Amino acid sequence: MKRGEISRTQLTALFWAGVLAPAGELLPGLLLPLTEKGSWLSVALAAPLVLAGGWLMGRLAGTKGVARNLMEKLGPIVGRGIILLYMVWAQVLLTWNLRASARRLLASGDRDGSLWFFLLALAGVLLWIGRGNLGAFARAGQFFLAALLAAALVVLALSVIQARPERLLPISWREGPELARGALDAAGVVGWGLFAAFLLEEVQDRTEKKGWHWVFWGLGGILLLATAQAIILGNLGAGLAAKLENPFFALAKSVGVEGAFQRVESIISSLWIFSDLAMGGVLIFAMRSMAAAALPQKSEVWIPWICVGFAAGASLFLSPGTALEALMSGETISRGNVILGLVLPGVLCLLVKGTDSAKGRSISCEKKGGQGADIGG
Amino acid sequence: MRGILAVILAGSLLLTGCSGLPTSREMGDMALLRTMGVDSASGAVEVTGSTGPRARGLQAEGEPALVLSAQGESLSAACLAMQGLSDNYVFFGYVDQLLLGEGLAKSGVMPVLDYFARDTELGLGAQLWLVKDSTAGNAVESGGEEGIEGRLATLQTDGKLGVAAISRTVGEVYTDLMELGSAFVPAVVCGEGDDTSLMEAGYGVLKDGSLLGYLEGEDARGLEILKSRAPAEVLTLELREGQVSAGVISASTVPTILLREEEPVGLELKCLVEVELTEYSRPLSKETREECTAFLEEKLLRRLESTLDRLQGWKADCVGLGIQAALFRPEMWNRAEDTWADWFSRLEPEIHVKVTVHE
Repeated sequence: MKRGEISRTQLTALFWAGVLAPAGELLPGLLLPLTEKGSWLSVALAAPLVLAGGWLMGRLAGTKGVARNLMEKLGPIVGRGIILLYMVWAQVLLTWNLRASARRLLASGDRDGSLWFFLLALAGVLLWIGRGNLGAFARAGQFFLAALLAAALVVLALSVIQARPERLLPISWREGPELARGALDAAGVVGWGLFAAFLLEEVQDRTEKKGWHWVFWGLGGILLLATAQAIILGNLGAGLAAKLENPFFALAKSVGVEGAFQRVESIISSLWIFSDLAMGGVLIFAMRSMAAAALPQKSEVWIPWICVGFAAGASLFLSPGTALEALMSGETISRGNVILGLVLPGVLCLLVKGTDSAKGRSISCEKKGGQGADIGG
Repeated sequence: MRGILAVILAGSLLLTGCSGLPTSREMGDMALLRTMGVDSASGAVEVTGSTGPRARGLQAEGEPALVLSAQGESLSAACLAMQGLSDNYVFFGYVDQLLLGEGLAKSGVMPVLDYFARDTELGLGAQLWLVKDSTAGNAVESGGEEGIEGRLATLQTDGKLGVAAISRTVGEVYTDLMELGSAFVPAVVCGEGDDTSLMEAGYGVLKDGSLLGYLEGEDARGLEILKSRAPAEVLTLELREGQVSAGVISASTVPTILLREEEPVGLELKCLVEVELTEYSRPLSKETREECTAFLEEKLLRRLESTLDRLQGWKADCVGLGIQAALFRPEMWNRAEDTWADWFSRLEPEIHVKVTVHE
């Protein structure tokens, strides 16, 4: 991949565009049984964790990118091992993403159609994106995010007037432990975007106001998710929302403007494909970046074919009720994201810092030894 | 060149129908249902659907309403059975009015609401009505060739404008049943004799998914004030200076739970009602205004006491007075939430009505 192809804003746009689909699919199922009407607060409380995860991944990326930095600082064996771990997880997420997207398309057509058709069509588009140019994909990401936000805001704005505060409150301080666990789950769902950090090496300007940029986008995004969760709960209540497969789409079904339009859920459902494509694209480009760093002598041309082919095959033959499907539950995915997006980067940052200090001391000792020799000579 | 040719050929294959795409349907070949009535019929479920006069697609515009009725062991089975009754594909995606018969409401509405929540075509935004003293099938068929869609749409719009009963959607009622344990639903009755059009009949009160009874007349207006909605009515008063008429223009109710040693003992309701004089012979004097205010406050107080008494008797806080009062008192609500229905029935009401008269 060419260096310096995208801007920081384009990368964060891809991050949030990609996170919207898993957030819609996973947040209700993970949070509502645990925190009920406090779900919206759990999402807001996840903000420090999300910001910390982004900051740690940014530190890990340094100026060379996460993958190259790991290879350089931790050595080829440990570095490759960690990169392989991230690649396997990215492949799991890609498979989940592709399957969820195809199933949503199938469900929106009243299950009149074939899963394999939607799966292969989406895989084809993802392959086309993944083999293409990152800059073009990043520009499309901005459009994806704009379209997704516009659609989501229409639904939420039409629903907010019917939201009732008594469906969001009261929340007791005794619910603190559940809210904290919910915040961890919410951070895990937003953690789908952790692989965007592997594209930091492609960002043109990595130094200018990077901290504030992430605070603005990170905090803004998470507060928007919390607001969306509050509006959904304020309309449907925790009990009904927990019973529905996707409360956001159920809400979209019940909004309309008299005399203008009555049903918007088909449009919303179609637009949500942008989110799946954004997330799928980020995962493929991240795997390309990791492969280029771990195996520099090999060509990365085949990476999109392998990733998309495996994801499509696994999605197609992943039977319901199997151990593999259980492994890919929302809870496992969320916890995996927390470990790989927050815990492991924290440990790796410490390791890298330790390695840098040791090298610094070694250089310092060599210099001192040299001086001593000079003085002694 | 070969690659492009392969893509074109693959695309052509999709056009021949060799794809997994959903089957396409022409609008003219579809019967677009607008109204659905659901009844229980000796262990089965009976569904009656009406397209309305203009809802069969553009080609059939102006044709009389198509009314279909089918039975099944469940709602989904009845809906499926309905497909075989029409030459057209019966599409439920445009159903925006749902009528429930009294029999079904007494036996339980939750399966119907659940079906509306989960089905791909149906949605939670449909308006919900209870048919008092009759079946939903009768109500749907009472529209004749014109259908009842127009009448229901008028009631719905009037409800939103505040000149008819509060209209409620399937989603609102289902949410209230899940969150509060009870809900109120606007009720309609079929007219008698030559005029079979649907008429308002107050509200049905559901608890745990089953119909408890109806609030009509003064009680229905009382429910609207408890819900902070101005009732659509004009009050006529005989005062010393003559007869005046006043319309309620706004109502607001703020509930508070009274505690003694951290235990709920009373329910205080502060109701602020604004009325506007619609008919009067001359500007009211200070004394007449005070007389008018006192008369209205007394009348509304009696009305609210009666409504609250009915709701307490049913142990059904369908307005959500408890949760509204406990909005910022989580500790108190934690203790009372599980047994709120019992608490609600025992609490001593303390109602304060303040009326402001505008000329």
